[in-house]
Amino acid sequence: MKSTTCCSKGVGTTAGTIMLMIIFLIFFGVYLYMVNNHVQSTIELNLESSQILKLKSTFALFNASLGNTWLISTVQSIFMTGDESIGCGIDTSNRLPAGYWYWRDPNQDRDGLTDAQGRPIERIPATNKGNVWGRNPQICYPRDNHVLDYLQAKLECEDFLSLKNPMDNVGGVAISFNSGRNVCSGNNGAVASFLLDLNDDNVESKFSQSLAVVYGDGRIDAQTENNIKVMTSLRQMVAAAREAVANLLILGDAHEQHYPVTQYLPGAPDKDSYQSGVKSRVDAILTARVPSGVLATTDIQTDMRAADNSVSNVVPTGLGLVVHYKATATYTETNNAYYYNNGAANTFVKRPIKLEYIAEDYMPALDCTEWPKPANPPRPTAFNWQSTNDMVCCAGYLFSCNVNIPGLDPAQALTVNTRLQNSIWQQGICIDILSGATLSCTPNGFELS
Amino acid sequence: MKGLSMPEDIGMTLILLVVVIMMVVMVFFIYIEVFLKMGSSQSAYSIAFVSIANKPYLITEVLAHTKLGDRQVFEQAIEIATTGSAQNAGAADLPENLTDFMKVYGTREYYISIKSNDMEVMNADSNEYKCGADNEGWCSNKCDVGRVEINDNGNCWFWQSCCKEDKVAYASTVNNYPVVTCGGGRGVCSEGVKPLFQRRTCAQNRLDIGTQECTGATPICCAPKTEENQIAVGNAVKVSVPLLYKLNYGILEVSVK
Repeated sequence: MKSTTCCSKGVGTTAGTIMLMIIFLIFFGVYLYMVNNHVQSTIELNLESSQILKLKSTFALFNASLGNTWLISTVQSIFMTGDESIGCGIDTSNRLPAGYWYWRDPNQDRDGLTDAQGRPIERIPATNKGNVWGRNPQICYPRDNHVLDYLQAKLECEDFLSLKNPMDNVGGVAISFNSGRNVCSGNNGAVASFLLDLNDDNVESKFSQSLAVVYGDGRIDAQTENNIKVMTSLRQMVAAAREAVANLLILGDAHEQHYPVTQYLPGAPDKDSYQSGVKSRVDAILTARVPSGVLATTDIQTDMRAADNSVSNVVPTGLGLVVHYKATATYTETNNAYYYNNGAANTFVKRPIKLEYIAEDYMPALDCTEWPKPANPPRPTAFNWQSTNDMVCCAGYLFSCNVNIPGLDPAQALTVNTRLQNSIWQQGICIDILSGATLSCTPNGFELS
Repeated sequence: MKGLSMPEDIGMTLILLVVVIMMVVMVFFIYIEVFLKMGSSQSAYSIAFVSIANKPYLITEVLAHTKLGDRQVFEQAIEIATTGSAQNAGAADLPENLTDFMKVYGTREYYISIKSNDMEVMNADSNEYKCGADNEGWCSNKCDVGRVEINDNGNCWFWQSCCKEDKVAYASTVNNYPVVTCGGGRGVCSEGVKPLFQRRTCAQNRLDIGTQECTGATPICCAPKTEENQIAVGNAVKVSVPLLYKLNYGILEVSVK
């Protein structure tokens, strides 16, 4: 009995232990199976998340990249607009040379202040960018809307909107622009629409495009927008240039009307000091009212000549002096700088936005028909070209003594120790008003004898 | 009493011992099968997956709104892709700035590339574990098949060698294994290293391509730890962002492990 009890007990204990171990093993196996299944399902879920993440992130990142594309494009169009003087002389061809905002043709009469019917002439265009063809001076006068038009034309016609489309494989993602806008070349541009706004201290642009981004079975179709702000005083620079043009017109009119301040007076030391005065006035006009944060620099070239056939519509031939200036004004921003794409050099270079424009005029400096001023009896009036009394106005004609005045008829140019001759008709007219006296050219200039 | 019951007890104890041994062996094989062969890499992969997949996108998102130097990163990238040169784009400092940027986020292994019409024109490489005069090698505990030792230029630990991937140079050395390419040409059948109680792996800073085509003394397919290979084996994810300007097409690629 005892041994039976003993053996049954041993078998039972062993069998129980084995059963427990088998149960433990089963649970362990089930646990491992579940863990493995969980890992597999987690991986599958993560793979799906990864696909969604890739689609979503590629879309968002591409839109962010596109914002920078539009920023660079807007900046380049602003650079071009400033560098090309808002298109003056380019899209106003046959009126002005490129870059000119003001140009007077010396072979045509300067426009009067009124037309034949006595009505004021629209010398500065009221709404258009340039005045009517044939006006003298020809003027380019771009307003804000013209600046915006030019910016828009640059964006559309210089390939800024013609982006690569479609992009078939961006890391496995396909991207395309839909519903693009027709640009001036006739191609379908990437952008659906864009708006430009010109403010005092910035140019704002808003680009809108329709994007389709596809990855696997996932797809995003969306209309996105990018708002760009480029800090620039372009608007104020253009306004300052417009004002300068209006004042240059007034300066030219003043010369035409023999305004004393602008005339070559008998007391002027020489031609150089007179030209210096003209240069100062032009410089003051070009650099006035320049906005803060903008540096104005000028390059003003002047010259003077006797009126001849080349400038006979400024002052009749032989009857006086004509002063000519060609001025280039450059407004340069000092606070803002962006990267300029130099296509020829294949570089992006940091530089400020600039506006450059040119003005050129031929103006009466000395009209001998105005000199001498009413006097009884009339007497010649002496002027200083290079030295004292080396030039006179007599009976409406200009004479020089021992000095070379460009453009002056040799018949009106005397050398030292010569005097006026009746045989030379211009000199004879002068002699006629001298009541028996004559003008002699001496080493000290003209002397009445 | 005890003496009488002893023969049966010994029998049962032996049976129990055999069962226990069998169970220990089974548990050991289950462990080998689940964790060493497949489970450990997959479970680790599963845990790291979200980080691996997310990190490049998160970093690129931050880059999209980051100004390095005097311009936004994307702006510089577009200009580099357009001109085909960081110097021409006035962005010669960008690689260095990107390296400083990545340090801030504690990213040790990355590769940032700017391509213009599929040609790389700029890159910023973490050069982690790289060595040699031009970072052409990797610090490793063993050069193994397909690699030759070069001067580490002071970049490796004293117990490491600087190993450069160069199948031709390796083939010309003595006492070598034959060079057998594997993994679609990415790797070389290698000897690898076999730590105690662990499965065979590639030498340090080499990638196990995971193919089963290698046998014999060189049973493991090992490839250089390049950006492309890291992506191919799923250790890294590459983010691609198009860079457009006029009709120029470029791409910014950010790979992060």
